[in-house]
Amino acid sequence: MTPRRVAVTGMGLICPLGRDPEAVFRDMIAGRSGVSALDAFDTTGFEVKVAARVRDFDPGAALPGELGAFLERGLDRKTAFGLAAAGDALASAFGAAAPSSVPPARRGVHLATGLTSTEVPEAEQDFLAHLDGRGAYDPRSAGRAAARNDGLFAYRHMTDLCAALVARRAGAAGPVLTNHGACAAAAQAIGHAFHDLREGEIDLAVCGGFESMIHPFGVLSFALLGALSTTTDRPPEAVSRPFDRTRDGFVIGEGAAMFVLEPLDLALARGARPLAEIVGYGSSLDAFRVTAPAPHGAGAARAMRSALRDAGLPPEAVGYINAHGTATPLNDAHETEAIRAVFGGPGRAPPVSSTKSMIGHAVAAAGAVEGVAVVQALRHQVLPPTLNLRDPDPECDLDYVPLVGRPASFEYAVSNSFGFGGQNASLVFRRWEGPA
Amino acid sequence: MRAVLTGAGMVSALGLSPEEVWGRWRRGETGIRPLERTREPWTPIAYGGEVAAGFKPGDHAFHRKMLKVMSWPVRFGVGAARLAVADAGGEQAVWGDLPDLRRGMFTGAALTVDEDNEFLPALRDAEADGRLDLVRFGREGVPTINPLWLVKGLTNNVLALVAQGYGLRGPNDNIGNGRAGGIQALAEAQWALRDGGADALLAGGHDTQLYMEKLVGLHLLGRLHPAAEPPWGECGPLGPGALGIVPGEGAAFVVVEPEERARGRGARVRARVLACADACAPAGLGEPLPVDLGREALARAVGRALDEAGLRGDDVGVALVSASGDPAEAAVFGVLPELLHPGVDLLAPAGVLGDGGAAGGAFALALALPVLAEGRHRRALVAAASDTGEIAVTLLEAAP
Repeated sequence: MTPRRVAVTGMGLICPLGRDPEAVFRDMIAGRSGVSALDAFDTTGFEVKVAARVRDFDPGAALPGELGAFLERGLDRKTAFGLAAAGDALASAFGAAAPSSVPPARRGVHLATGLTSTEVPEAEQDFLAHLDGRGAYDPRSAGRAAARNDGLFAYRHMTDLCAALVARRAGAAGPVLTNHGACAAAAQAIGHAFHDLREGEIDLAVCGGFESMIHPFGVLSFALLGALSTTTDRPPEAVSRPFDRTRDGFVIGEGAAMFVLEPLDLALARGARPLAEIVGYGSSLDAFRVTAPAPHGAGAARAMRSALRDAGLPPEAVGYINAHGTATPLNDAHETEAIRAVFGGPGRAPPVSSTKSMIGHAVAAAGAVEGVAVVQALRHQVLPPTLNLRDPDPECDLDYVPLVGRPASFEYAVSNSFGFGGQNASLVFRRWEGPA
Repeated sequence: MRAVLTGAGMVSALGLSPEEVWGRWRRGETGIRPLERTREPWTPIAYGGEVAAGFKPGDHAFHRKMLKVMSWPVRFGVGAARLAVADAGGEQAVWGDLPDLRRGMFTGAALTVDEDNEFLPALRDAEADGRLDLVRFGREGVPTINPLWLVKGLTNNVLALVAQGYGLRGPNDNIGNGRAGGIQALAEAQWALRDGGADALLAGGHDTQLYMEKLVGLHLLGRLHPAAEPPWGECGPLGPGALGIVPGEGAAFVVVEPEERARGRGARVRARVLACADACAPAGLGEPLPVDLGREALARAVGRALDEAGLRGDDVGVALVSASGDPAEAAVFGVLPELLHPGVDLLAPAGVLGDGGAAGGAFALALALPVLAEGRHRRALVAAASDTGEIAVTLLEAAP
């Protein structure tokens, strides 16, 4: 079978700058930040003081009916994000109509998420309430209490449930996968959906990622590794500063983004208006260390080269790179080396920016949330900036589009996502040049 | 290009190779025993498929110092992957002549668990009247927690550690689809070979059901087997004794490579991969695999796999399935004689290993190899279902 072209025909986004992809992109271009003081819990005893939280999100309102009630009772925040973003993506692609022209068995769902989210009330309910007189944990007590709970308890931490519920909503009866590739997970999920469509395995995919780790234990887990910024002498919106000489770690974010992908010919035949195309996906393993990138960004370079090969493109065809750009000292230096190795040094490499400077790091969902920024950049022919880049690191010597967006003329863009465990993924998007 | 399986490794309650497990299973032995390492006294389950004490993680870790950040299911996964490579001829034979970009790995994994509850002391010390004093927790508790707590909990740990150990830098994925994940991992590996992106890969799954949070969840949903004694009758998890899940644990991995390469390096070809397919029966809220939709999805997946292989149902002699003891799963897989033929042999490894969770499909996959090697059957269907309604199947053929 001749490989098919794959179009993005719908997007849903929930991120710290909002839920409307158009408005969020306008904010990005203007250099607005979604980072604020970390007020999700009392941070007095914590070194980390900022986060990029999703505000004004009410699962009950976002997901009316049975799902909303279910979520309010039992499920975690990230699953609510995922379901809402998937609903928005489907509405964006099909309006109020169902994708009825595609048989259910030809519809797939490829999602990505990270670890479970244990909030403080759960820790109190599940652990602190079951300490015996000596302060030892009593599993019998936990078992008795759990038995009085309702069955939804068991679903709280089931990370593949979101994909099943999205499948139900999309009427999908084809392949349904949940990817756990750490911070590369969403890009991998999108990449696999893209390949399934291109090779003719399915005719419709809902794909993307969902994540929320802005709770004490999530923040703690990254803080213990020294991965989070502990900056306190700047306003919150100035803390995330990828590629800056003074960068000291990432700002934790949250959210979800989902795409509807379809074969271009089928999408056009049903009258859809493509937002962009996906033309390449590459993935690699560092095989180095679990929490540090391979020297010289070798794994990242392999992922980008693999994606370009998959797209059949030379490096010079790419006009923009949305970097993983976490603002950790190691990542940004190694990613810069990787980009130089693949695309050439200053003057040859395309402009690079990190939207994490504005929306933080959405962890397993990052590749999807940033994918929306890339699609919008291609549609509007404007590069989103790297906010807070005022003191460039000499080791990071590329064009990072500092501070504000910049008009550009480009056809292809690369989006990078690299994860703990050494999983790397790159996606290549193409501007849709037909009628918008 | 035809993908073949040239090696398999297992870490399970009944042994450390598919041949050992199958041999003991055939002799009527079971790995379901009184729990020792993982006994939770408050549950009605006193029996399970606990990995035998004969498994020594230190014998399989690439670096012993890494054991401290490897939870039990990660130890199982790394162990099974290394046993698979050894079974395929050893590290040099499997990977030696390949660029690292043409070596890959696909894993089916569950969430890695904090089975030692390492942060409990920090929580306990910050408790005040049943509430968590976050300020004290942050100031006094956090410094006492292992900085690598997150690393230990990464869901892609097996992938990361095995990749590091063998220098695998090519195609990869870490799939979290419960029992179906191990078979989906094989499907992804097969596609990576067909795409020309790799020449040798590992595929499989690893998990444990034997930890507190999981048992609480299964208990609350009423999905644990009610028996306080060894639970299975002769029919195992596909028969009338399928009254609930008997939890288990372990891992299984296979080495996948193109037949031409395998023959060229003189490898023992254990089986050919004829086809892989999957389908979804989206689960309802609070309801595991719905039987009617599950049967429809299984029929679609089996039909697609048979079509891809150019076979009919009666070309398949045996089916190995991930049936965990859950009555809904038993009802779904019970339709296989209708889909294939009435005389098909149905085998459910969970009957002797317990439900392996994300290792469940991989158990069935690995055990298909000694079953085919016996020569009674030329082709095997392997099928697995996740709790959320994903069904994955693969068709294997004994190598001539």
